Amino acid sequence: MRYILLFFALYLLPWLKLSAQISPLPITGKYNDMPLIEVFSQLEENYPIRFFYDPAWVDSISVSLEAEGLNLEEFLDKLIDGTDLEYHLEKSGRIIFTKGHKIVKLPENFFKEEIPEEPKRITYSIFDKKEDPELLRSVPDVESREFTIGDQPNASGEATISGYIRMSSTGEPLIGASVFITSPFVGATTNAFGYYMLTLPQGNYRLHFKSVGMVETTRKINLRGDGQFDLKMDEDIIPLDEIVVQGELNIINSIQTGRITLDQVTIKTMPTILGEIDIMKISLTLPGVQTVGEGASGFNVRGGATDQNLILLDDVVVYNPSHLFGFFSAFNPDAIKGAGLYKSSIQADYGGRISSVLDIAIREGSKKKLNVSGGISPVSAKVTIDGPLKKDTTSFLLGIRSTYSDWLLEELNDDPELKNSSAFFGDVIGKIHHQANNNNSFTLSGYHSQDRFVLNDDTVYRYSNTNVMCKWRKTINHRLFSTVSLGFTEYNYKISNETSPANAFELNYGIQNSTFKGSFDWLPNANHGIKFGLNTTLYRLNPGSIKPIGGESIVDPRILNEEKGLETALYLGDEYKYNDRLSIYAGLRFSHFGLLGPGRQFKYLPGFSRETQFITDTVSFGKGSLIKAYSGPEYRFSSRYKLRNQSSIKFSYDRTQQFIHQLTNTTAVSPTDTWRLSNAFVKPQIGDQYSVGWYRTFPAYGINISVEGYYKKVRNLLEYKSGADLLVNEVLETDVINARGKSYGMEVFFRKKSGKLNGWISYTYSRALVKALGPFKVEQINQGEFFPANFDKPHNLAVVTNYKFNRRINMSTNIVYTSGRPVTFPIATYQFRGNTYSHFPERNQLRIPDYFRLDYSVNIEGNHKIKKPFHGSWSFSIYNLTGRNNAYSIFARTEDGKVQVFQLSVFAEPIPTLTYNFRF
Amino acid sequence: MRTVTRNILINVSLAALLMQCVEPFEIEIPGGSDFIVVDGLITDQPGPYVVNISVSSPLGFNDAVPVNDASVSVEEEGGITETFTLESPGQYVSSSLQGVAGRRYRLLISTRDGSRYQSDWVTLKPSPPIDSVYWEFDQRRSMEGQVEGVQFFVDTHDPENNTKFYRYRWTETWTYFAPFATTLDYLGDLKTAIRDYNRTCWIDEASRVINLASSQGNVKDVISNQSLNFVSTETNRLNIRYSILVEQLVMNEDEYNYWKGLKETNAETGELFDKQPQSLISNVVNIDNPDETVLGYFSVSGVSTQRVFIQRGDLPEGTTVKSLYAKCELIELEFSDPFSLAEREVLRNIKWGVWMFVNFSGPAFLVTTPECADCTIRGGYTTRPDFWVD
Repeated sequence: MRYILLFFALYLLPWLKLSAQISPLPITGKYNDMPLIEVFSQLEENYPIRFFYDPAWVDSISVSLEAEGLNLEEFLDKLIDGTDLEYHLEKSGRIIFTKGHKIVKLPENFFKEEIPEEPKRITYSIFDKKEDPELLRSVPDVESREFTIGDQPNASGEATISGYIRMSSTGEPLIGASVFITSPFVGATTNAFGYYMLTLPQGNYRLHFKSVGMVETTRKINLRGDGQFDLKMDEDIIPLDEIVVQGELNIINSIQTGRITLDQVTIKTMPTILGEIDIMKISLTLPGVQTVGEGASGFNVRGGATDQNLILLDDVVVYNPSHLFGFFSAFNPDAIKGAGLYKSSIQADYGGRISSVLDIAIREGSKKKLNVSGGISPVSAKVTIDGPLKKDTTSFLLGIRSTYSDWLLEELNDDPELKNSSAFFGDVIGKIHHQANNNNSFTLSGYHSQDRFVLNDDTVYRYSNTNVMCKWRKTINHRLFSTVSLGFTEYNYKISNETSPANAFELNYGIQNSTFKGSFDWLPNANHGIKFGLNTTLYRLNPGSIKPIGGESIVDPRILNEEKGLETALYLGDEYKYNDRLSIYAGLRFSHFGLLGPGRQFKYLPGFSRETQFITDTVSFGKGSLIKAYSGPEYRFSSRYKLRNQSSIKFSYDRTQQFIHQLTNTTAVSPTDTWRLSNAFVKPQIGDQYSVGWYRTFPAYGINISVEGYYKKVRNLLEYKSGADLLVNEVLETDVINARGKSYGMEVFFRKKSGKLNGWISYTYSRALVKALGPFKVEQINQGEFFPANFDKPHNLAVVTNYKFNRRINMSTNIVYTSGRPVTFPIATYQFRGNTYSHFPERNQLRIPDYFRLDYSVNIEGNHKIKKPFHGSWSFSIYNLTGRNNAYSIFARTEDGKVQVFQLSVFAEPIPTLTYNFRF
Repeated sequence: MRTVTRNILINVSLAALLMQCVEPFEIEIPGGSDFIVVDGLITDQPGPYVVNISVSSPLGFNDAVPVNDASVSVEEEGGITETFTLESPGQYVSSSLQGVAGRRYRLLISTRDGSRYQSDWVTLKPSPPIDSVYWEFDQRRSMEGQVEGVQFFVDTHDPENNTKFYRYRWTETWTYFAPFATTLDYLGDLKTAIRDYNRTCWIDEASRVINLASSQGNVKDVISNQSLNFVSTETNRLNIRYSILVEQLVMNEDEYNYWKGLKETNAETGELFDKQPQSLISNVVNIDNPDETVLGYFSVSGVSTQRVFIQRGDLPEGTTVKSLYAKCELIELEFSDPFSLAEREVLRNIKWGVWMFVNFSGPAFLVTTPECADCTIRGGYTTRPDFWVD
C-alpha cells in the first residue's frame, strides 16, 4: 500500500466559537487514575483549548499524571504516552486525537465547514505525507488542486493519460470504472486490471472518476504529455449488502450492445421472493431476459434456450444455477460482487454458448478488517465472513447459506401426501485473494452447492455443483497484462427410489470439466485495446446410469459410456478507437471441438430416419482417439458512433458456437435434464446475431434510455421427437431432431438512477421461432413450419420503482407484465376404447393467459451510526400483492370420464415475507 | 427402463412444493374441433371384432358423434378383405374374420364424402401366456386418508424375447346380495304378485386406465410385479366374492408409443416438469390428404388372459369391507285387524318402488326399501356368469 489511509470520524458537538490565539501556556495539574475524558473536560474548562476525539478510543483510558508548568505539547506527549493515540495541535487551540496514524498536516479548510445543528458524521481521507506528498489534502481539496501530467509534449498535440483505479479499502482493482471529461464527452473505462488509458489533446481538464458503489470524484489535470495517474476511490458509506441492477454506467461510451451489469450497490430495491435477493430474478426484469414461468430454472435471453447461456462464477461454468428447482438462485447474494450479462456483442474472449454470457464475480474480502454479515428469512439463513488473512496483502471470504427447516413444505401446503416430503439446499462460497505485489495477484475461489428433495417419501433427488478456480494476474508492464487461470467444475445429480424392491433404482448423472485459460491484454496505445488468448476445456461426462438397488430389483443396470471432449479456442480481439466518435471492436475466435474415445458410434441405414431398428453397424473407437471433430471461426464485431455528447448508436454482429447441449423434454428446466456433447449426429449449435442500438443519457436527471433491436438465427437447434426418452439413452440421435431457430425483437430500457424516486422501465417485443423440417415425418414438427418456441413471449414489460423516504426507509414496487407463453393444450374430445380422450393440436399453437404480477417491499435500515458495530435491517416484502393466479401451464386431465382443462398457477396468493439482515 | 423413466417424471410433482393452485380454465378454440376418430381392434381371439368410427367434439361435450354411413373393411395381407357391417351407431362389426398370429392386417375406410382412409399394415404378434396374476393386501394413501385394499400384480415373460410391449386391461366381476330379497311384489290396493327373487347379483366393470408395460431395455423379456388394479375395501367389491379377468394384449413399438403418448398427454400432465404434450400420430391416414388429422388407432394384438378369484375369507381376519346395504332396515308396520278404513286407505296407496313388502301376511307387515330387496337395482345382473366358480 502506497498510501496509508485513515477513516477518521468525529462527533462534533455543538460548538464554542474559539477565536483566541493561544500562546504556549504552562499547564499545571494532578490527575490520579482519572478517565481521559474527564481530563479533557477539566482542561477545556481551564484553558482555551478544545479536544476532538472519538469517545470509543479514549473511554477505556485513565491517566495518572502530575504536571507542573509543562507547555501544552509536553503535556500532551505525556498524556498519550503508552496509548496508541496521536494528536495534532492546531494553532487555534484545537487538539485532534487520532488513533494509529499521525496527522501530519490538516487540510486548511478542515474546520471551515458549516457546523450542522445536529451531530453529524463526517468522513475524511487523510493521506500521510511521507507516503504521498502530492495528495496531502482532504478530498475536496484534492479535487481543487491541479496535477500536472507529463512534461514532454508530443508533436501530435495529444497526450495519453493512463493508470490504475483501485478501491481504497481493499486495494482491489475497480473494473469498469469510468474516467471521463464532460465537454466534449470523452472517456475510457478500466479493464480487468483496473487499468485505463485515455488520450486527449494537451490542455487543462477536469477528469471525472465514477464507479459503482464508490464515491464519485474529480481531479484537475494539466495534461502536458503522456503520463500515469493512479487513483484510489472510497466506497460509498451506506450499506453495501444488496445487489441491485445497475444499468451500464456509460451506456453511451461503451462499445457493446446488449450489455447489462448487475452490481452490488447501495440501495435495497427489488422486492424479494421469500426473502431472498436473487441475481437471476432481478435480471428477469431487464429487457430481453425472460423465463417460462415461476418455478422454471434458467432464463431465456433474446429467444435463446436456457442451455445457451454461459453462466460463469469467477470464470468457471456453473451448470445448474438454481436451488429448489429454480425458485432460488444458487448464489449467496452476500458473497457476490456483481455480474455482467452480455446479450450480444459477446467479445472474442467468451465462447461456448450461443445466447448470452452471465459472468458473476465473487466478492473479494476486505484486506483491512473483519466483516460479518448475514440474514435470516423463513426459508434460509446465511452468514458471510470476510477479512484479511494478512493485512493489506491477503484476504479471504467465506459465505454459507442453508435452509433450516421445511417451512415451505409445511406452511404452504396442507396436502397429506406431502407430509413425508422434505427439501434442503445449501451452498458454500469462498475466495482467497493475495496481492503479492503491485504486479502480481493470485485468487483461489471455490463454490459448492447441494440440493436434496424427498417427495412424498418416495423419490429422492440430489444434485450438487462444485467449482474451483485459481487465477494469476500479472502486470507485465503498463502496456501488457496477463491472466492465467485453471478451473474445475463438477455437476452431479442422483435420483433414487426404493419404494418397490423389484423396481428400486438409482440414476446418476455427472459432468466435469477442467479449464485452462490464458489471456493477454495489450494496450499498445490509447486507441487500441487488444485481447488475445487461449481457452481449453476438457469435458468428462457420465451421461447417465441406472442401477438396481438391492438383490430383488429387476431393473436392468444400464450404464452409458463416459463421454470425453476437448474444446479449444484461440481468440484475438481489438477495440479500436478511430476517433472520439467512432470505436470499433473486431474479434475472431477459432473454436475446435473433438469428441474423444473410447466410444461407440452407430451407423444407420441410409434413406431411413434414425431409429434403433435401422442400426446397421457399430464403430468402436479406442481411448484417446478422435471420434468426431468440429471447428470453425466465430466472428465478433461491434461498433459505436457518438451522435452528440449524450447519445450514441451501435451495431454488432456475433457468431457463436456451442458444443454441449442440454436435453430437456419438458417445458422448464428440470433436475432430470442432462448435458451431452456434440457427436456425429448432434451437431454444434451455431448462432448469428445482428444487433443495433441507440443510447441516450440525461445526466442532469440521472436518466438513461436505450433502444436495441436484434435478429438472430440459430442452426442445429435440438428439438425432440414426440415422447422422446432422454434419460440414459445411448441412441440419443434416434430421439432428437435437428431444428433451426429464428428470433428477433426490440428492447426499450428507461432508467432513472438518482433521486428519491428511481428505478426503471423495460419493455421488450420479441419473437422466438423454431422450425423442424427433417427429411422424415418423425423429424418434422408442425409440418416443418416455423412455430413459436416454448419461451416465445412477445410482450414483456417490467416497471421497477424505488422510493427513498430517507436514508433508512425505502419502499419499492415491481410490476411485471408478459404475454402468455405458447402451450399445447387440448382442443377436442373423442371416444377411444370406451374412454374419452382429448386431442392436442400441433405444438405451441395456443397460449396461456398473460402474466401480471405486482410485488412490494419496504426496507428499514438500522441506525447508521458508525460507532455502532452492529447493523441490522429489516425487509418486509409481499410477492404477488394482487394474488393474481398467473397460469404456469394449461393442461387437461380426464377426471370422472370427462376431459377438463385446468390452469396451474404457482404462487397464486400474496406471499408476505419478513427478512432480517445484519452485518458487523 | 421405460417404466423407470416414467416413474421419475411422474414423481417430479414439484407442484407439491409450491403455493400452487389448479382451477378450471375456459377456452375458445379458433377453428374446428371435428376430426375423424378411428377405433378398431383385431385379435387372435374369436370375433366378432369391432371398429368404431366417430367424429370428435369440442371439449366439454363428451358424446361421440357416430359416423354411420362409412364403408369399413379389414384386409388380411394376401388374403380376404372383409367388410364390416354397421350394428349400432358408429359401430361396425365383423362376421367371419378371425385374426391369426403372424399375419398382417390393415383397415380401410371410405366415408360418404369420398374421403378414403387406410391404416398401416400391422402384424398380429402372439401373446405369451401370463405367468401369474396375484395380489397383496395393502394400504395406500388417498385423498380420504389411508385406505386398505387388494393390489393386483401380473408377471409374464416371453422366452423368445420378442414381445417387449404389453398392455393390460381387465374386467372385474363381483357378487353381492340384497339382504331382504323377496318374491313378493306389491301392486297396491292390497294386491300382490310373485316376482323374481333377486337376491344374488353379479356386476362387471371394465378397466378404464391405460396400463402399459415394456421390457425394452431389460436383459430378458420379463415383466415382473406390474401393478394392475387396486380394489379398495371402501367399495363393496370384496364383500363376498370377487373375480378379475386380466387380458394381456401385445403390440408393436409404434402402437405402444401411441398408448404411451395417449396416457401421458391425457393423464399425467399438469405437474411442473411434465413432458410436453404431444400430437399423437395415428396409424390411419387419409390416402388423398395425408395432412388431415386422424385420431385413434387400428390395433392388432395377440391376447392371453388369466382369471383370479378372491373370497371374502381370503382377506386378513378383521378386515372390514364396506357394504352397500349397511343402511337397510326391515320395518314392521302394525295394523289393526281388521283394517280400519284409514289403514286400508294407506295400504291402497303404497306403491312399489317406495316400499317393498317382504311379508304380506298380516297383521304385521314387513317392509323395506326396494334396493334392499332387489339386487338388480344396484346395476347387477342375476344370471350366474359361465366362468363363475363359488
